[in-house]
Amino acid sequence: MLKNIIRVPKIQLAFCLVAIYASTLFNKFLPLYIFYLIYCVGLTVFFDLLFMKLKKTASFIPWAGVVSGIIIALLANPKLSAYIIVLASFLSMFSKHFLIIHGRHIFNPAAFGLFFSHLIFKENISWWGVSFQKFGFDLKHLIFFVILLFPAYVSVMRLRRYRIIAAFLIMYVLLLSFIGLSLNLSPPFDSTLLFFALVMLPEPMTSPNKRSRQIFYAVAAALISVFISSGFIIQGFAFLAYIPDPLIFSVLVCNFLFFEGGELYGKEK
Amino acid sequence: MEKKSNGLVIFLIVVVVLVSILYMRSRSSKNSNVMVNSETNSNASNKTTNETSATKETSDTMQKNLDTFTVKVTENGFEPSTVTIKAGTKVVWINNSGQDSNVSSAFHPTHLVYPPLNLGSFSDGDSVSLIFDKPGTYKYHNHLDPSQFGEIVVE
Repeated sequence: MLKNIIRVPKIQLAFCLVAIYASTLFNKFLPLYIFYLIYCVGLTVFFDLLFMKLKKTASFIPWAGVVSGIIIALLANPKLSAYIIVLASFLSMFSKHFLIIHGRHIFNPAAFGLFFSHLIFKENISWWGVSFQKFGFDLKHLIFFVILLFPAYVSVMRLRRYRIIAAFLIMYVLLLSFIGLSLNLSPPFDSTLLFFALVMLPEPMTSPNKRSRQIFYAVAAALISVFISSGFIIQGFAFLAYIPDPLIFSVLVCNFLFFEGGELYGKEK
Repeated sequence: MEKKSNGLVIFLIVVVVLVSILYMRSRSSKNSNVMVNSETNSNASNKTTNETSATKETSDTMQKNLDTFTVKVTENGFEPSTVTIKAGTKVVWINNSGQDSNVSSAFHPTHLVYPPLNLGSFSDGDSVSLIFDKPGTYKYHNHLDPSQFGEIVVE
């Protein structure tokens, strides 16, 4: 029974994310951070169960809510007002249950909740829990960095989403190198970018299944995030400066553009 | 088919709301920027007055001649987080946080908006600095802990 449960990718991902969160506690311990994780996960699980009840679907252990809660805890600044986290949790589970086509949700729930809650309250998404893991050869940095890579087991080995991850990172490096006019190989080792590529982008329900579309999906995400990040676009379209986070915005746009939940792609699932 | 169209309608509503919010913010930002500048100017002036116990007149004179502004990096982040300076002022960040810190331009993690502000990581006790020549608002953050951020408003 237990063996079967821990084989579920969603549950494995939850354990990987808890390991990353634990590493943040080792890096900088504050009792607040433990309560913060419980608070975020508690809220997403609560809203997940509430919406299941409202939809009169069978209740089960809401692992998706747990995963979304941990992602919100890792990405949203713990110093934010509590109601922003409530809104992020509510919106993430709302999108999971109600922004659906043919039983499949369109947007990455955690990304959706984080984006709109931060947009409304004019906050930037901080990525605080996945930013300190610098790549280095000393033991401390190496351990933190390896823990950050744990989700690769789920997204690469179990879900086979390696095309998305590779295409995104390669395109990202090329774009930054093009802007800087020299090959810039540091991005693939940036912890924020790795977490985004390994966890946020390849979410199985909201990323394409078809191989060629996976590549386009990842390339589009890299293009959108880099161009919004750069000052060139902002000078032309000032309102883009209010986007809380280019990476999260890019994944939401690509979730929509490459959605495969409709009738056209139903047979390929 | 009905479910699909319902989903699309909800999505379109969300898009319309999003675009409306962005549009309203871009319109109101010009007015609010003026208010933020005057508020931070008065804060800077008060700080100088407190430190030197001088009169308001003296404080104003110091503000005009100020060519270096120090930002402390503490455990809680950048202090002050918003700084208003004249063009040509040098801003110095001193790390008193007890651990490595970092100053990088917005956005996280690409740092492309103003690359000269990518001053990198520096140890506890060390400092980094940059002279701001052109007027504008320069946002930055600690790349190692992006929950810590600040902005330099150059007039």
